Amino acid sequence: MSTTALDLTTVLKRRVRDLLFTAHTASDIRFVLSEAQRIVNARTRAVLGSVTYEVPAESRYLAHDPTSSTLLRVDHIRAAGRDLPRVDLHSLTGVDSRWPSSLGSRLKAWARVGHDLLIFYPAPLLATSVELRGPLYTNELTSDTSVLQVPDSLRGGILDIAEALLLVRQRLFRSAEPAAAHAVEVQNNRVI
Amino acid sequence: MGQARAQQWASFMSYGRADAVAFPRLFEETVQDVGRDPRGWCTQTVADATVAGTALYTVPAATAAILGVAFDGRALSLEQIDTLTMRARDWRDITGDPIAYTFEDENDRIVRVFPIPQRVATLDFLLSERRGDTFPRDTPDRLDLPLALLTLTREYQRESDHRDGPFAERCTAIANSVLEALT
Repeated sequence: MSTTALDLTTVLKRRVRDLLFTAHTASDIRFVLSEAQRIVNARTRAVLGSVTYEVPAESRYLAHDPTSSTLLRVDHIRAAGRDLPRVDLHSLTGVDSRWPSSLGSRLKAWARVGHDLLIFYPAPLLATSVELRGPLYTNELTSDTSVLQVPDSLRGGILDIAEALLLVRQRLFRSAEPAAAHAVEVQNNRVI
Repeated sequence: MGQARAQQWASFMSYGRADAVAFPRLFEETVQDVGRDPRGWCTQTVADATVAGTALYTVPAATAAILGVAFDGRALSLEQIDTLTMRARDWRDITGDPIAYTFEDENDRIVRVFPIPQRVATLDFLLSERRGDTFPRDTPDRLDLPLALLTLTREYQRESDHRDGPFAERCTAIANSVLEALT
C-alpha cells in the first residue's frame, strides 16, 4: 500500500487527456480519487474497520447507525466476543412478533432497517457494548503524498471509477463509457 | 458533512453551474425519493396510541414510507385488503387486539389496523421520513456522492436554460451503481 495520490493523479490526467490540469485541478482529481477509493472498498471490503458502540439499557429496539462517517456499511456485529446473526425485519417478526417490546440479558440478533437504523434484539436489560464491523470509510487524499488505504492491486478499479466521473463531469459521455463499464466489471469480479 | 458535502459534489460535477438556491429543495426531494426505496432511508419511529373503536390512524405528513407497525409491543404484519377480505368478509367490523395492518387505497398515509382495537395502547410506527424540523438529522456521509448525483438528475431533467438529459441520465446510472455498492 504505497501508492500515493500523486501516482494516481499522474495516470489519471493522462487518461482524461488533461495533462495541464485545464479541466480538473490536482485537488479536483484527489477529491474524486478519494471517493473512488471508497466505492472500491465498499465493493471489495479490502480494508475493514470497527466501531465500538454501547447499546443503551432498555433502549427498546432502535439505534441510529453511529458509523455514518467511519464505515461504509455495517456488515457484522459482535457482542461479548461472539458474532450476532443478522436477520431481516420480516424474519424477526416471524420468529417473535413481540420483538419490539422484548428485553433480555443477552443480545441474540441484529437487523438493519434502511441506511441508518440498527435493531438489536432483544433490547438489553443493561447497557451492552457491541463492535460494529464493515468496510472502512477510507481516507481523504488531501495532498500528493497521501497514501491509498486499499491494496495497490485495486488501483485499477479506483482509476476507472475516477476516470468515468471526471469524463462525465466534462460531458464526454462516449469517452466515459469504457471506463465505467470496466469499473463495473472489475468490481463485480472482486466482490468478496 | 451530509448535505453540505453533497452540495459540494453537485457544484463540482456541474462546474458550479448547478443552481445553488434550488439545491436544498431538490436535495430534500431526493432524500424523500430514496426513502421510498425498499432499502429505506432516514428511519425514525413515531409513537401513537390507539383509541378504542378506531381502526384508522394517520402518520405524519413527512412520512416517505411506513416500514412497520407495532401494537402494544407486538409487530403487526402487513396484509393486502384482498387477503383480509378473503379471511372474513366483515373484517372491517371485527374487534380485538390488532394483529395486522393495511393501507387504505386512496391514501398511503392512513393505516388501518385489524381487528379494531377496543383498548388504549401504544401504536408505534417505524417510518422512513423526510428530514425537517422534527427530524433534523443529517444524511450519512457515505451517501454524499449518490445523493448529489440524484439531486443533479432532478436539476438537469427539469425545464431550464441548462437542461441536459444525457448528463442527468449518467448521473442516475453512477448514483445507482454507488448505492448498490453500499448496500
